[in-house]
Amino acid sequence: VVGSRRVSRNLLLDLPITWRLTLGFLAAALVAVIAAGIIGIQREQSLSRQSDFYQNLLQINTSLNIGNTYLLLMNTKIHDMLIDASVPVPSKETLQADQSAIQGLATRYDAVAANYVQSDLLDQHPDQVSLLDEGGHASLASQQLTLVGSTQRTWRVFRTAQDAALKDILSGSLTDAQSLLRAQVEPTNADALSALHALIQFNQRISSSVRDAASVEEQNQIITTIVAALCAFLVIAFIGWLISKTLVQRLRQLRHVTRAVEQGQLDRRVQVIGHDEIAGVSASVNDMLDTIVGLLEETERQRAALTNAAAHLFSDMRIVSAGDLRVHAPVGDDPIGLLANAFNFTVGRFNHFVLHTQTTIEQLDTLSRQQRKHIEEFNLALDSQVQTPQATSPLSPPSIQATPRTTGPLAGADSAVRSDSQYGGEPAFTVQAQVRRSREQLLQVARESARRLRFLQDINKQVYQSSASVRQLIQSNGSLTPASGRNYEANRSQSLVQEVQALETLLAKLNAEWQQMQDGLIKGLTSVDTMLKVLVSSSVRISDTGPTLSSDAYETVLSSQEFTNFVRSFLQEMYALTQRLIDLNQEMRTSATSFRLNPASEVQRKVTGR
Amino acid sequence: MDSLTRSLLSCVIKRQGRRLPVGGAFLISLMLFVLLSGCTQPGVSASDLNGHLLVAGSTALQPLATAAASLFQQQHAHVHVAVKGGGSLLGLQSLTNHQVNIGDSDVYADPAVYPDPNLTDHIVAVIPFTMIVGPDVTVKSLTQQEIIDIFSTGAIRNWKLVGGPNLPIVPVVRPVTSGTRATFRKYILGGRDEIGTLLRTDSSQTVRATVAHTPGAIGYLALSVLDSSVKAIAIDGKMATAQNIESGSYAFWGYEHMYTLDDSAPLLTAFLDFMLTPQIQQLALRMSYIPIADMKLAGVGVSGHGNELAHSVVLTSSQEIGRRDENL
Repeated sequence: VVGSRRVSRNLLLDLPITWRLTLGFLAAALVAVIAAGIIGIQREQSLSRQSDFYQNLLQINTSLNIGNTYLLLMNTKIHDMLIDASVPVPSKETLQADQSAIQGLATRYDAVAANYVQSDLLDQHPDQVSLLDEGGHASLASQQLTLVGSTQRTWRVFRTAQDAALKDILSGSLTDAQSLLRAQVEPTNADALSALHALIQFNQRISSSVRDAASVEEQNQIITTIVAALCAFLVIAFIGWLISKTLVQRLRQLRHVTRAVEQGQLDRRVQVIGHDEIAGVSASVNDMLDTIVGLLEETERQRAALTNAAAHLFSDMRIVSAGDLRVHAPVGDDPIGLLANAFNFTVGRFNHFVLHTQTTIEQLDTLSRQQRKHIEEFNLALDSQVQTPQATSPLSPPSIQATPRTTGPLAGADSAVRSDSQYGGEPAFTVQAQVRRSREQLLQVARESARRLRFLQDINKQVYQSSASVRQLIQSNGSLTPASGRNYEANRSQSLVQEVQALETLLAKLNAEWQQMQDGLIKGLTSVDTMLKVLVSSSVRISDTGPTLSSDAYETVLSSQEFTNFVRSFLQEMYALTQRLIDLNQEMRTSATSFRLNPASEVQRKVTGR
Repeated sequence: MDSLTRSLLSCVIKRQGRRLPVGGAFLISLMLFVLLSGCTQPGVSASDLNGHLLVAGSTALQPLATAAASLFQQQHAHVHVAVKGGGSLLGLQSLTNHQVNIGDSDVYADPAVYPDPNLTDHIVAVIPFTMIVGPDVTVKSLTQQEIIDIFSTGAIRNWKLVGGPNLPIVPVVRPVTSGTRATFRKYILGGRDEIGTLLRTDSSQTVRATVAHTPGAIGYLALSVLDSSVKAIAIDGKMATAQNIESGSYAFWGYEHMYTLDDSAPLLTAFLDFMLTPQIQQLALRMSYIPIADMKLAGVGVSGHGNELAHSVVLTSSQEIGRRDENL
């Protein structure tokens, strides 16, 4: 699932978490406050209703008790009045006062009753009725009406009887009045009192009912409290759930995605919903995953390229180790490229070295051949020199013949030299000139050989140095090459190094030979030179003395014979050395020609063109 | 870096997933506890009443009380309510002697005679009374003065004086314990004594039987015990109907009181409340009582009418005061 930024349907998700939490807490607090407020207001209302009711009942009770007193007073007063009227000469004023007092009491009682009917009936106080309703005493209102009706009725009957009695007293019919009082006024007064008493007691019933209602209301309050608390809890829990849903769901999704990525599903992305912190984190995770995946792909690509380059380099190395030095590995900026560059450089240097060696070998070969020719020529010249005084030189042919690796042309030349010297026959002057010439020639050869040898020595040194540097390079290549899985290449380089080392050894040997040969040559040449000097001086002496030559000549011949022998041995040595040199050259050439090489100019370009 | 992010994320996710349950469970259990403790408090139920009640007194109220008691016993299996007659004053006396639980009475308890402050009046119905004559008397109506003349002064002793057959009038007088008699004296005779055949036992049924079997007899009884063996006659042309009583034009009626001494007993309260239920009130209506609910405005606010009537009664009676009975 590739994640995408989606506009949320839930507006909450667009709010920052802080705001959301603040809103949630505020809402929860509001709910709690409302619940507490409802409970408190209900309680307060209930209490105030009860207290109002009780206060009202207290007032009613007081006024009803006052009414009760009025009734009792009326009864007493009318009896007093009858007594007042029973005296022999009743005071009209007293009777009038009694009557007005009784009527005043009756009026007040009427006022009390009317006040009760007007303002104290339960029916006129719906809140009281509703409170009693709650206590299950709804019938009290009708009972009250009944009781009030009974009170009114008895009061009216009593008042009628009382009025009649008053009238009787005032008119003087005291007997009638007395009987009326006893038969009607007193019973009706008792009835009225009883009815009023019932009304007063009814108040007690109301108050106990209010108590019932209050307990019912308390129960209701408890229920309300529970319900409100439950509602508040549910609402708060809902708010909490809502908010946690906005957090948890997306965090869970985030976790799923991260788990999936952990398990390798790199294409999974978080769906970004809303604009809050989690959305931000999700987007960041997506970006991070994108970056990581990009890096992974890049690394993979680089590794493939490196492997490819390494394979190329490896094949190049194989070609090089097979002897073909014309390889040019592709160069790059990566480690393999750098390695390839070093490899190219090494191969170039090696190529250069091999070329140089080949050239040197060629030169050495030429020089050796020249030297051999010169020796043969010298030998020939010597032979001819010796044959003039003596028939043959017994030493020369076998010494030359003794050399096992004498080539055909050399042997031929030898015999030609011999025949030349056999068919010569020159005078001493000629000999002298020949000796001088040969000495000069010898000197020239010696100088030439010394120069050549020094040059060779230099070349040798150079070669040695370059071979050392090649070895070093190869070794450093070997260390540069990654150790893992590059054993074969390392082996290859190792073999290359070994080969170069063998070459080096060979060169060292060659150098030593050269040194030896040079020393021998110098020694030989010096002795030849000395001999020649002696020969020249003796021949000069011979030519100066002329006729007295014979004994001296014989000596000269003898010394010359000796000398010739010495020269011959030297020449043989030289010849052997030269032959050895040629052999070595041959060996070196064969080992050098196993390489296929770039032309020198190209090598130069490659080496310098890095 | 990758593994660090991963571990951080997994840590956060684990914490997030385990947040709600602990607090929620705690709160829910708290709520349940509060709920249960709140529910156990109101435990008093009215359904399992038991015990027995003794009701005695007014024979006028007796039929209604008996019917109500049997209904009440049907509803509450463990309750026994016994209803006896005996007359209103007997009921009140039995009550103040703690012999019965409820004293039925047609009359008010005189505070001087029954000074117990706990004596509580429960008015359960209105009982109309009516004058009755034997089947041989053809008179349909008597004025209040004619009744006074028949019962108290003795001025009228033959039915022919009031437009009936030539038959001597035999007034049937109830004993002093009769609440009906007291009412009759107060509201019809204006306190005068009665003359005539004094019955020995206070029973509405006896009155009815006596009047039915005595030629020219006249009596009075509660409408609840009236049957076809006697004839009801009007007073001042007004029959004992609810309308006439409510309008105040018919004075011969009384409240049916059930006096108690101890209102705190649940059974007593329940029975008294039961008497006021619509069920019993309807029953009362069928038994010729007047439900007190129908008497709501009787006398309240219409004071003029009844007052005048009572006045006239007293005024007329005050001129002719005969024998006085001091028994009351």
